[in-house]
Amino acid sequence: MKTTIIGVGKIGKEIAARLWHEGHDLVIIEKNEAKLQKIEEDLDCHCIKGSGATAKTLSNPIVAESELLIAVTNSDEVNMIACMTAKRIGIPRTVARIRDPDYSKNLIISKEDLGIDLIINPDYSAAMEINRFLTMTLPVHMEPFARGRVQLADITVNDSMTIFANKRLMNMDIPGSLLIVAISRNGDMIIPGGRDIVLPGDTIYLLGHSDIINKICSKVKKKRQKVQTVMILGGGRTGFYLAERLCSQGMKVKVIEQNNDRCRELAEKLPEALILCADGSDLELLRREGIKDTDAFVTVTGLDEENLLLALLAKQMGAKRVIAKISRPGYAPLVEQLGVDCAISPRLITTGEVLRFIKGGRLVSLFLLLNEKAEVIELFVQPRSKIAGRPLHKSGLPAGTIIGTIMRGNKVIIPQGNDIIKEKDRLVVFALGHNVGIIESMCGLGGNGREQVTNSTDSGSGSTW
Amino acid sequence: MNRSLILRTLGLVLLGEAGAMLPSLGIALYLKESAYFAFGISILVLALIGLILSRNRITTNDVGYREGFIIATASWLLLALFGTLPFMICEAIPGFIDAFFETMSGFTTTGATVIIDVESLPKSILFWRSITHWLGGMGIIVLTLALIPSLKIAGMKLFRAEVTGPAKSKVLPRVAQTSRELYKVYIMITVIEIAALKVAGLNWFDSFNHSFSSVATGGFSNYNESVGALNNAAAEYIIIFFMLICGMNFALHYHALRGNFRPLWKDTETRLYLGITITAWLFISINLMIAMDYQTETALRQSAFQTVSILTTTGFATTDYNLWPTFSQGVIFLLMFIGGCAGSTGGGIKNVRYLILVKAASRQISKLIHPKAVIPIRVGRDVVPDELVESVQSFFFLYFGLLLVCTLMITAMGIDLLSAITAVAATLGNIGPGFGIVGPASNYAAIPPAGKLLLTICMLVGRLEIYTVLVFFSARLWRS
Repeated sequence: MKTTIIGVGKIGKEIAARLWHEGHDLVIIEKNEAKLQKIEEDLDCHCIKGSGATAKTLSNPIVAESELLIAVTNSDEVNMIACMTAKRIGIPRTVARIRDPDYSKNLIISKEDLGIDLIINPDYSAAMEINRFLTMTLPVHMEPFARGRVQLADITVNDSMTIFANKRLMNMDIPGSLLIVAISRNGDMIIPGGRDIVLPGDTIYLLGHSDIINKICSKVKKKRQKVQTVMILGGGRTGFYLAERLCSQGMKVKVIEQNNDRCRELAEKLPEALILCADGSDLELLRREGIKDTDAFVTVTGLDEENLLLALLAKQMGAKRVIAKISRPGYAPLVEQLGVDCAISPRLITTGEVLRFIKGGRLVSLFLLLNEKAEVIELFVQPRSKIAGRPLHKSGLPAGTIIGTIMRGNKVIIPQGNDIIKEKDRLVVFALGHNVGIIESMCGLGGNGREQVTNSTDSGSGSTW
Repeated sequence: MNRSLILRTLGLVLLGEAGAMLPSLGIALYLKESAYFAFGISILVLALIGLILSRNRITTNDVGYREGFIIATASWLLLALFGTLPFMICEAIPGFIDAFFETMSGFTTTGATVIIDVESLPKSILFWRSITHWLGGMGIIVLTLALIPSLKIAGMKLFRAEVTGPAKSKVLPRVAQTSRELYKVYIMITVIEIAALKVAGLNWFDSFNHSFSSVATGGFSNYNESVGALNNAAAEYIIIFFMLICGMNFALHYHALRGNFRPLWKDTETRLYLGITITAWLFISINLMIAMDYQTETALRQSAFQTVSILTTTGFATTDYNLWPTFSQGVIFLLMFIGGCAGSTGGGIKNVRYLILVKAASRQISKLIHPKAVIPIRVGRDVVPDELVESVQSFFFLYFGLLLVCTLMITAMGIDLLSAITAVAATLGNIGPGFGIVGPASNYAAIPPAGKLLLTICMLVGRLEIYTVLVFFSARLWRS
């Protein structure tokens, strides 16, 4: 697919790299000469120097032929105008980054009016992800699949979990309709077979019917107390979105921000939150403001290192849960090993959103598991595809792949080796990243088959608005 | 200092006052009262001085807040001074100090009177008293701004000096348009009340006088026993309603009359104001029913009338609350220090200032617990700038400072403490009646002349909300 990306900042680069690996033909538009040269060295793409908001740049034939335009410059306005212009020129799909909350709340001009198909807002997405983590009642991530009837949960195993710890998968006393689809060990991803052993410290990914997942999760860990008080360090956009969301759920929120003017602004916009104008590394202040009794401490300043250190410090001072915003995705596994309960990478989340949007035509939903090493994809089995009509253990799926669920009409099957896949089944597949392409072609989705699937009903389920 | 602009504006204001005397002149001529002579002379004098002053050519349009303050205070002083002419010429009130007190009481919508037998006065003079109320209620400068667009530049500065409340808002982009719309609302409410009172069975003269007096939240009545003399329950309910309405922000009425009731309904100050009204009303009603054996309807009506009358700073009376039980008197006493809403015709400290003060105090407490917290002060959803909070705090200090100092001066003249403090509160808050010898059944005739002069100044200071007058008398204003 031909794709144009306007602006190669951090997000732009991340998306470009990801799409390039997926096989997109990229056209990059960027004002800054140095950035443009850097991207030209890293990726094999066509680079144009200029402003992405001008018709002159966009009507360049190589741009105008694109099937997708992604505008991720620093300026919301440039992104909007670029998308509007692109739609006029005839580029069928557009993605824009819009960060100003006032724009995203604009009800008078809808995104359709602006010619934008997907709006991405990394700060907002990060805030929502943090919010999701804080409001989950079970100590696990849950991700609904197959219209909510199947769920994926992750559980970090420790010694006391005798059902899982130090056992082979085949020996575990768990219901047959519950699959361990992936194991994350020291930052590596394993798609396990029956002989693999789960070790303490592993994070296992469980797939099964929603009620069974709930049962097993509540057996493994006690239900967590509801989060009541949250301290947010950093009053930037992410901090603001998060505070706003948490306040609206009746939580007690304290926001610590250094800049006095920003504090005033926040205080005006967030009547229910307590805004403290102070340095987050002021330990006396943190203690006085009751960090010991805080249910959650979230660090969302602009600096990864500060977020990490202060989150660890807060944990040590008694905060029950600490969450850090870590922009560099590479840090993430390390961070969670150090004791931070959750590391959020806005860039990774946003990239995931864009990919989900692009693949929306053939995959009903997709999300990236742990730093893009494994993927969960949901797809349809096309007529006359290789995989159909054979029992699973004879289907020739590559190693490191698990078919998690088969949806046939209204029936949901958690498959065993003898189950047979039929045409028009909907599959939830777990695979290491490099296997995704193979599976897709086995299901008849590869190459030219791409446009055959018209179902894209919930492609926008994870979009920002 | 832009002297020509100041003089011209004052001239126009005086011309306006001459025009305002015309209806009284008409009544005097129609009823063949001897007061026509007094009005004739007054109009001639005012028109002459007004014309001379207004012939000043405005050389520059350069105006600042200084001119605004000077015009506001000087206009009100001149209006009250020249407004005494009819009273003095026809000898309805022979002494200058008494006449000055009465006129100032009229323009500032205080409603305190020094006339012992109101009913003996000529009807044209009574009508003139009501007219002073009506003009003073929405503001004479606002009227001038509405009628004379050439003052456009000085507009906001003048508007600010006269419209009540800590923060002034315009309903339309231009001050002249805003003034005009506010007066339209004011006139509409007045006309409706006149019609309602007429339907309730009053004669035209009573309807006019009581309507002017209640929409301006003034308090002059053409009867010695105030509204009680009408002996008409329906009229009392109508007057209660209109006093209550006029104690609210007229900018909100403007929206309501155009079919948008949301701002009025959602307004925090209006809610507080209605909350206070209902609470005080119920407290007094129950107290009256238990302690005085009043019938339910009588207790509810009388307490409602007195509560609304004092809270809106009107000062009408249907009964003498001096005879009420102590608790009810206490409630009335407290109401004297609250007043109406910002942007209303009512006087007093205003509900919104209390809102801001309470929020500021609670912020202070929070700040002790969280020294680093940034807490804005809000009225409803809107954030009040810190400057405004400070201005409200010092307003409060000045108000009570003046109250205490003036009370001390009045007691020095031999007046008892309760009468003295309520006399000052009733004039500073533009209410009218107080307790004791200045209660609703009596009047201010018993106060010595020096005391009357002091109270007259209190009325002006209260109507222009302290700062405008204090600035006028501050040496810093006149130093260039």
